[in-house]
Amino acid sequence: MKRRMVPLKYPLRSLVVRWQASILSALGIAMTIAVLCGVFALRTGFQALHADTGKSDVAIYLRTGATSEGESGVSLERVNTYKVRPEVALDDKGRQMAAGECYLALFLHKAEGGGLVNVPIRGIEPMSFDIHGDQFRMLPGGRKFNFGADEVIVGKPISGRIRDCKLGDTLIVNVTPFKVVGIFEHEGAYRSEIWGDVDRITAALERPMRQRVIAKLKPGTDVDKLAKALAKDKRLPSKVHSERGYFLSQTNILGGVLSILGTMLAAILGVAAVLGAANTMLAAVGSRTREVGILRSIGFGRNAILMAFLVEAALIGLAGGIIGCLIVLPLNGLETGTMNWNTFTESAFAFRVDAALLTTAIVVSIVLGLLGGFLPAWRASRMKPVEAMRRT
Amino acid sequence: MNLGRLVRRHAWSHPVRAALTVGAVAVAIFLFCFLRSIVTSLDAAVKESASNRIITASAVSLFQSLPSAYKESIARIDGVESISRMTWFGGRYKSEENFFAQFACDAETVFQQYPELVLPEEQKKAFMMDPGGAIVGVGLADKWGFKVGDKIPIIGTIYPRADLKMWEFNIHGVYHSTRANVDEMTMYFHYHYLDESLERGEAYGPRGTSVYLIRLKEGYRGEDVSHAIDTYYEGGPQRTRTQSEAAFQADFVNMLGNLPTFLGMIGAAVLIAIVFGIVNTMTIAARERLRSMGILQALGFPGWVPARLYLMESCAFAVTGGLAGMGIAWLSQDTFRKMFGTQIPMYRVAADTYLWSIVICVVTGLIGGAVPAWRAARMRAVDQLRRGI
Repeated sequence: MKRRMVPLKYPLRSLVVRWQASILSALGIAMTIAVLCGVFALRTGFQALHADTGKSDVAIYLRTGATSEGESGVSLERVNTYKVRPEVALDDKGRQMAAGECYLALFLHKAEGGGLVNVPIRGIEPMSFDIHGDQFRMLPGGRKFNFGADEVIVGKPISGRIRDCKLGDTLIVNVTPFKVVGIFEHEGAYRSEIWGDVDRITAALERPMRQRVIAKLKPGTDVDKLAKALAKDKRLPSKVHSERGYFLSQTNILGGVLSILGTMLAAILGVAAVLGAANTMLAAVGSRTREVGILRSIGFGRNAILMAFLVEAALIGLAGGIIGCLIVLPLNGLETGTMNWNTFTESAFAFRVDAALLTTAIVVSIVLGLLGGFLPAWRASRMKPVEAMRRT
Repeated sequence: MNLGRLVRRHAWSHPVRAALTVGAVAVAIFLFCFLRSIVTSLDAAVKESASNRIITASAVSLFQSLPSAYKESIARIDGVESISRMTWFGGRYKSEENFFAQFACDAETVFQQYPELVLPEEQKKAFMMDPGGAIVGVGLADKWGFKVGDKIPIIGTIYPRADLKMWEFNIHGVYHSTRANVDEMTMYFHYHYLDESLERGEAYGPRGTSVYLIRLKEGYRGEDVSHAIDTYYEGGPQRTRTQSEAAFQADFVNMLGNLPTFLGMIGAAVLIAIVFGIVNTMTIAARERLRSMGILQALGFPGWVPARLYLMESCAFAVTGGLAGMGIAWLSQDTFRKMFGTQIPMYRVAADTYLWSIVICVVTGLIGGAVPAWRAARMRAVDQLRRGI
């Protein structure tokens, strides 16, 4: 007899016949996949918000040593030195496209519940708006703050969640009241911030230092080279990133923690799911010993038997994977907030379940099924036809 | 014939299946213990906080330091027994990704403020004598291999040195902590050393104090003294928020935001997964055992016997697996403390977590056994005998 495969119908039908066990072990795998997808959807959403929105032609200058804005401090004198650096682009009126900004995470209260959160307040200069360009837009109903006035605008996700941040509210910064005159939306991580005039905010906070200089770069500027040169500069020791590079560095800790957590949880739960699938397949093989004997005696080879049971296991895995994905799919786009472990600030972003994640999930689920099914399938394929048929 | 023996025989009739089931439960219970311990370990710092200490920090921002001059004026407020300063240093060991907590502290008073810090007297003295000295927690020493006599390089992130070199600290002592509110993953060094370096222009950064630690006089209430301090600075230059150590620690836990919710959701998924696992095993077992159950009934055993057998077997699997899982959780505490030392310095599986695990196992066992038990109870002996394989 030539190499012939057991028809696909056989494993499919036996799954249906033992539907209870099939579904239960598929659900075990589904739970694993749901946890894996959930954690990674969180990570993807967080990283997409940060990494994909930073611009490569915008530079961020921090003081040397600082790993984030919060740790940095740049004196006014140095701000002016940065602004006139040769790599800074000029706008159509010939002005330097650079701005010194201050940044501090304020203690504010959640709107409901009242617990404390760290919400970043950023003092900006008029040029900051030009550098952000069309990533920034005001929502209807409000207006931009006036420079020189004690006014602020608030990012949309913050506005609903934090006390005193709705349009028309008064926000106390240290001891100075600021009026909320507008709500803004930003494509990037800045959407979780409060913006106002840098001079007014530094005055209110009694912190004269700026935290960073942001500048649009002339076309063709090599940021890495610039970063290397300024790192060793004795007069102006700085840490320079492209905006994109800076955001990437800021997602490291949370991204890392979520990756480790997600992988670890999925691995541990995966073990449990594999054990469950193995149980089901073992029982499937055990109760079909006689059938295996018949299949062997009518000419199906060992590999055909092995394949048939592996296909059955893979199908259980696939079913689990699909159910797992279905459980997680509604999370896509759901807004949530969690602490960014680099800056300690609350960051609002949406879960993102994308095609890559779903594909990985399906592949992992099939692998889990196969791992669980291998031993039983192997056992089935090694059975001696005559003995198998004799056994009941 | 006694039922216990029958349960044992049944459970072991398929050793591989028994092992797989017990293994799956063990893994799930271990995961449950781990997830719950993350939350309880963070809370332990809040629960074990001392009641005779209050902490003054900026009311404006976690990252805003208070003027050093506040020390004298707070000390004069009624009810303050002693006051000590602490400043967050935020440095990195050798390279940027090696993070642990460092605080500049008032070495003369820190040991009075924190009797929880325990280290040999001669190490304490050596630390006091050396302006560039430091002490480290035993967890930190284990993780990075720090020993007394080491000189460790720290990159200043908030406080970079003007010469662009790293800071160097001499390790003079390794401390233990007696309570969960003080962790063993921190380095303490001299406040004066930092302040004078800034004064002389050898380093840059914001001068001031992150937090003032205040010990209350006997008979004074924390709320009253806190209120007095905060009222004093209401008009600036920096507003303060003074609160009990427990409230201060609780703020940090709150800042984690949705993390406990996420962990809870994952935990729920884990529990559902074990229920599926047990139900699966028991359904399979019951299918194979229809005939023997029929025989039991035909022999004259009452109808509830098969049901009881299933329930007992299922619980036996669940509890055995659960005990194994708890064992793994108990044994892995040290490993996790090292792995997550910077985030969860006092990782420990609490006693009530073990208790909950047992409850979960018994409940899962009952659910797992209930499905086949219910079926068995409704089947006549004849049908079982006929349909059995």
